[in-house]
Amino acid sequence: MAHASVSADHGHHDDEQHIAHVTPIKVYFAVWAALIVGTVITVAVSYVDFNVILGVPNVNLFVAMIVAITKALLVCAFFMHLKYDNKIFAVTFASAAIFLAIFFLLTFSDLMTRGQVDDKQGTFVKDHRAQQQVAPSATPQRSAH
Amino acid sequence: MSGSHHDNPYLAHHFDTPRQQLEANKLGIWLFLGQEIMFFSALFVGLMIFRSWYPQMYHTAAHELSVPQGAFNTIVLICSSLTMALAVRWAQMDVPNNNRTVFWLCLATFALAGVFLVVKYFEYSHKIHVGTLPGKFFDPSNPEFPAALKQFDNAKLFFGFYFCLTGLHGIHVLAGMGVIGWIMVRARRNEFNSKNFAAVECVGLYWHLVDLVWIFLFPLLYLVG
Amino acid sequence: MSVAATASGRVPHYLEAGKGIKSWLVTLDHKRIGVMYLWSVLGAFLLGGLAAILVRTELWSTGQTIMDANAYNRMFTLHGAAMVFLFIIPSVPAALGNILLPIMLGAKDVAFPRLNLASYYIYLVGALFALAAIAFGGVDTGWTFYTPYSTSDKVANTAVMMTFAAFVLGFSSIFTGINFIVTVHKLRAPGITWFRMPLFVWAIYSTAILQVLATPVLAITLLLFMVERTFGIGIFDATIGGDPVLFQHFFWFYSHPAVYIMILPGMGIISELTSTFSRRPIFGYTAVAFSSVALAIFSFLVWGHHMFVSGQSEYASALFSFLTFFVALPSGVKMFNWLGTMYKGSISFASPNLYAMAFMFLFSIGGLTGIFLGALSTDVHLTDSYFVVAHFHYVMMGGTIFAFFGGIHYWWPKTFGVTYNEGLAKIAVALQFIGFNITFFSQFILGTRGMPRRYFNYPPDFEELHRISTIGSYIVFAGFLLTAWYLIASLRKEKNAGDNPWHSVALEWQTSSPPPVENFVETPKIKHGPYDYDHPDAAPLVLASASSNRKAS
Repeated sequence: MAHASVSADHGHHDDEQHIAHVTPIKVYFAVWAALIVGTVITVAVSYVDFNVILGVPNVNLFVAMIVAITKALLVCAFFMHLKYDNKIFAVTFASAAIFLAIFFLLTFSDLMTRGQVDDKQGTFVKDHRAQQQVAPSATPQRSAH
Repeated sequence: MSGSHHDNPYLAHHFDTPRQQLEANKLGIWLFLGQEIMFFSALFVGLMIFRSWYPQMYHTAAHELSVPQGAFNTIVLICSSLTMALAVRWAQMDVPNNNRTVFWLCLATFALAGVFLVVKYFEYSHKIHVGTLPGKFFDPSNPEFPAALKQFDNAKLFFGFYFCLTGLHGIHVLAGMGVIGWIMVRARRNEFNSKNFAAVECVGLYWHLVDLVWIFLFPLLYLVG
Repeated sequence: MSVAATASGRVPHYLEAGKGIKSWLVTLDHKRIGVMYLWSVLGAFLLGGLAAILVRTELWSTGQTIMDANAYNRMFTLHGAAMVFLFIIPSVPAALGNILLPIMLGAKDVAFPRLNLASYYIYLVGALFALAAIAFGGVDTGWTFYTPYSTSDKVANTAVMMTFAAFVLGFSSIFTGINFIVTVHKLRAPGITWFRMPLFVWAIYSTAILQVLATPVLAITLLLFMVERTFGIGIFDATIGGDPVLFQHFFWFYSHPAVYIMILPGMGIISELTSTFSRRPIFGYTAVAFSSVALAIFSFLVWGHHMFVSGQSEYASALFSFLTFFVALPSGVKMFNWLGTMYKGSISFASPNLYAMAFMFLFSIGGLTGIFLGALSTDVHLTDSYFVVAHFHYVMMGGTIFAFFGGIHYWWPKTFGVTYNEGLAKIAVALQFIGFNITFFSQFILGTRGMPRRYFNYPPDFEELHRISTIGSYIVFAGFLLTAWYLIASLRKEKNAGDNPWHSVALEWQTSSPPPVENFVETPKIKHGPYDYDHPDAAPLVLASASSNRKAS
């Protein structure tokens, strides 16, 4: 790659004029392969009900999100060039993710804790949703389409 | 006003250097992508809230979606991201026929996006056929309505989210096809080279975001009921 | 951009750069776009103001005075929606920010001039939809469009058109925000470090972050509202398992930060005015700069304080109430530092500074009553009363609108090259300040006595206070009519304001007034900050004065 190395070690003027950072082609194919593998993993894992096996809710969700976040980071870092680019782009994108997390957390702080206080006494009462929150257990495994 | 950039036809009058212009364009598109994340956010928040409120309904309704079709579409979008990333790479290089390569890679991306929408069409028409639709179109009296769902009055909520999320994502795919088509026209005119590739890179970034949204949509809707 | 020098040897300013309506409609010059925004938002201000006067007139006496209850509901919705979406949100950033931000940074334009023009037209399209919704019968939900009432059959379908208008206007705001963030990051002239930026720029920058990250949530919320109303998908419908309060979460996730989209730019203006008219460096520059960013971030954490009586969980309410108090810290930093700037300064009582001092007085009241409302137990009693109405008018009108008009007066010579009648301006400020306090202080009292907001009728006991409030609103209105008159009259005068009538050392005054098309004849070299009145180089240096004969580039 003739221009692949044009970056920081060149003079300032050069740096301002030569702007392309060309990523080696094998990097793109390696990332693509990793994304395919990630998709296969996440589909395969979904056929195993960890919630039942481990007796803890949301394990499948957790596993799926770990895989999805890994895939997303790969896309961001290589396909979207965040690994090589000015860090301000990564900061911009990450700040959106942070405000998304705030949106999730504070909205959930309401919707998951409703109806737990006795209106008249202001005291803690039993969570009326507790029964509904049990992880799906007796439901059949996924049927093929 | 320094005259140093008058020899560069790609530099707009209010920028001083190509790097400044490129980084300004990219920061602009990254802010737009941040905006897109927040645009989708409320749908994801709502989806996860109703998932934890009604786990049984969600679980049952999610099983009505076709995992093979969803997984196939995931692969399609990942491949389209690869072709788009390669298009950006060739737009950045001053090699012979680089615009030709950009054109063909963009055409491949465009075609893959089309495949995605065709699969989506089959998914949607199946749901229209059996009546698993959002809101007032939700029809448990349909003879082919899934039996497992009949006990849940609120299953229309799940399909409301399904259609809103995939519909909004589909609109983004369509918009992406539009801007990729615009890049194809410009590549035909041999416009791209190592000094002028910002348009391809910005369209590429947008297309990768469309892929990113699907990377989260697919497991949340299809897999983790 | 090449410009020919006029016969006098003066570099032509941006108003001379093209003639005719078309030269305005297709302009890419940030100053002209800003001027178009300025007239548009002032038109929206007139519309919202007339609606306010009609609302106050209806409340002159118990029962029906000039309109029936339905017309009244539509009128206060019109007032709220026009003021919030068409006026206050675009007011300071899109009008003054567009005119000034690139000049303050020594840039030739904003980063994306075409996007800038597009966002103006998107604003116009949104405004047209809003006007159409009013013409087709109006909306009576209030500007908040709360479900389940707004999705019920009782509300006409014009609600969809009105929310679509707000949806479109949101994208205008997002694009302006993107443009400003990129401009601040990438187009600062050499020598303008982050900590040599004017505090107005810091405020606009913080605002732009909010515009980009919060406004899309409003867009998707309104989109969901439209889908809910059209297809009944049930997200906000409790009868099939949805949650109407979720709409409030989504709505306030934007609309609370939107309060800071409205007030932060105003605070930026006050920083400029206070320093210029006290002839002192701003006290605690860094603290004021970071307080803008801190307000922007905190504003995302407190939206639930709008929902204490909505059925929100008690735990969430306590959490939101606790977080709300943190907002007082950066606001307090600003107020303290403005006063610190004025302390022992050489204070001029020019009309822009009168607006700034009115701001400090009124915003203090607005801010402190906000603490009452942020406190969970007090708020339960004061929610949806006139106390809330008075509180946010003290912040939005006493704060933002007074700052906006202070800024208009301060930068009027910069923008149009003319001076207005200072005597009339002082009278107008006095009328607005006195009238404002009469209007809204009486509403604090009404609120604590139990007068609920948005009510058409009230018990006879409240009539006296309502009449005082209505009289006050007429005084305010007279004050703004006077302002409109002398500002418009000034435009017909000769452009002889001088380049720097306030003798400011800030960068935007170091080019000619009105500025040339690319703002500076040469890219300015900056050696000191915008408030360094004690810096040796700070004798107002004029880079492009009217007298010097310069070669246009």
